[in-house]
Amino acid sequence: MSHKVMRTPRMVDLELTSRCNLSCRYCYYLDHQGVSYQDLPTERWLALIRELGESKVMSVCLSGGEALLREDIFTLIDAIVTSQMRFDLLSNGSPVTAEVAQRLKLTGRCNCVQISLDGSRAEVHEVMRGEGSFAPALAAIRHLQAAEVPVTVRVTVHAGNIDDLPATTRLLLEELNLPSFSTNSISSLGSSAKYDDELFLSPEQRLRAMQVLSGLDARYPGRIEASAGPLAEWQMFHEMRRAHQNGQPIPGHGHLVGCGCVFDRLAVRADGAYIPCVMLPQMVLGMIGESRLIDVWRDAKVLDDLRERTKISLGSFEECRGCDYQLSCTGNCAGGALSLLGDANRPSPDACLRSFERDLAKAGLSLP
Amino acid sequence: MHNNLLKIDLDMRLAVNPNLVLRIEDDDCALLFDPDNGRVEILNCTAVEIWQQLDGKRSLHEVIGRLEEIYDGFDEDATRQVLALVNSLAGLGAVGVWEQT
Ligand SMILES: C[S@@+](CC[C@H](N)C(=O)[O-])C[C@H]1O[C@@H](n2cnc3c(N)ncnc32)[C@H](O)[C@@H]1O
Ligand code: SF4
Ligand code: SF4
Repeated sequence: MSHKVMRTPRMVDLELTSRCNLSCRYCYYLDHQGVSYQDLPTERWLALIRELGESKVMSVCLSGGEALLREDIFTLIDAIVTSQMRFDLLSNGSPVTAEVAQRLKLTGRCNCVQISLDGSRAEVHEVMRGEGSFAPALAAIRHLQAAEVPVTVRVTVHAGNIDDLPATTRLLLEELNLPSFSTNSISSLGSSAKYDDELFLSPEQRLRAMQVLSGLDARYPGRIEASAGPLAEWQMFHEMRRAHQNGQPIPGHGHLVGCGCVFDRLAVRADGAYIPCVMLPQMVLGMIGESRLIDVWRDAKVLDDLRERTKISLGSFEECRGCDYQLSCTGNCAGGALSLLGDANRPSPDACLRSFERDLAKAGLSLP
Repeated sequence: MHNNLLKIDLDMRLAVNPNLVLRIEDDDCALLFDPDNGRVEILNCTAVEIWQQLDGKRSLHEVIGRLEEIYDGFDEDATRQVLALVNSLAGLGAVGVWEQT
């Protein structure tokens, strides 16, 4: 696969604050040993936003932490509008009142607000996200819909919500009539040290989550999105198996091509550190105020190395020797590899089809 | 601002829509982005050249004159293509005669 590096990023993730009103058990953002949790003052963000506009960045994705907790959030959003950009917003929903939804609508530039909702009922949603977090998330979706702000939902799959996925899907797609929602599962991002093994899906649970989601995907075609997690893996693993059965490699695969972000996207941490991606928060490329984003984009060696990662063949790794899927595999997310192995330039073990098949076999199971 | 463009002719002094963003991607292409609706159009390098000349002061006649200087063998056919391109940009609301309202 040949990737082209854009002259400037098209999209920039801004982690506007490290503050959050929740403390979800699985949160990759909080308690990262390699990250300093300090918030930049308004003027620093305003200067960066102006620079992004001048660099013709088209869109920013606002997150954190909980971006809406910033008292100056609408000053920053006004600056985004004046700088001729659009924005997306990721939120746990708690701060989204009817008034906030209306203000977002009035900007005329909001692509979409993504609310995190992990279940159809408080007992399920709150297993990981904490007591009292369900009702505000649901209310937020309704406020955004009433204000006609495009809204979507991210469901993070874990052992405690697999059986509820059909009910969650009904709630989101039928009752609330959302056009679509996306799914992922808890992954070891940032620092793996903080995660207990019990947070992750076991091979059996992972297979069950795949089957439930693929059934729902068939029932609601095109309305359940996934770029990672059980549904994405189900689709990718089947494609890899088909490729192997047909003796045809998947074009562009066979190298570490799982991460395309570094070609058109960059991220900025709450403390002003430029990072390649929110999944690689410890890879600091420079600091706001010390270097310009555009210089970092063009000159940072770490970023260049990540782009060069796409040229590394899976055949060069001991752990991939003799694997039937080598020419159809992408090696997956650099963030997963860095977190689990301490090296971004390796295939990420959490998305390895061969080891998943072996783990299933040990449990007397197989991928259908 | 208001676009009162009706019909393109060579004496018009067209300007680009100041609300749009031109993002040069590489030597062959650029993206024209409308932040108000998120729409993106792809422009090739000739279109970018034209875009950069439409400053509201030069007539289309003059713009074509400049293109003739830049490109060898710029003939009547090329002029027709430029007009077609300007027409389609005008259809998108990307260029026009802009008035303060
Ligand atoms: C870090 S949060 C920031 C935005 C906001 N506070 C929220 O919760 O939506 C962004 C998204 O990442 C998800 N997330 C957090 N930790 C995760 C992990 N370890 N694995 C997968 N997704 C995770 C959250 O559920 C949320 O949808
Ligand atoms: S609400 Fe978002 S940022 Fe806050 S703890 Fe939960 S996942 Fe993390
Ligand atoms: S061993 Fe795993 S990571 Fe390596 S090529 Fe095979 S499936 Fe991919």
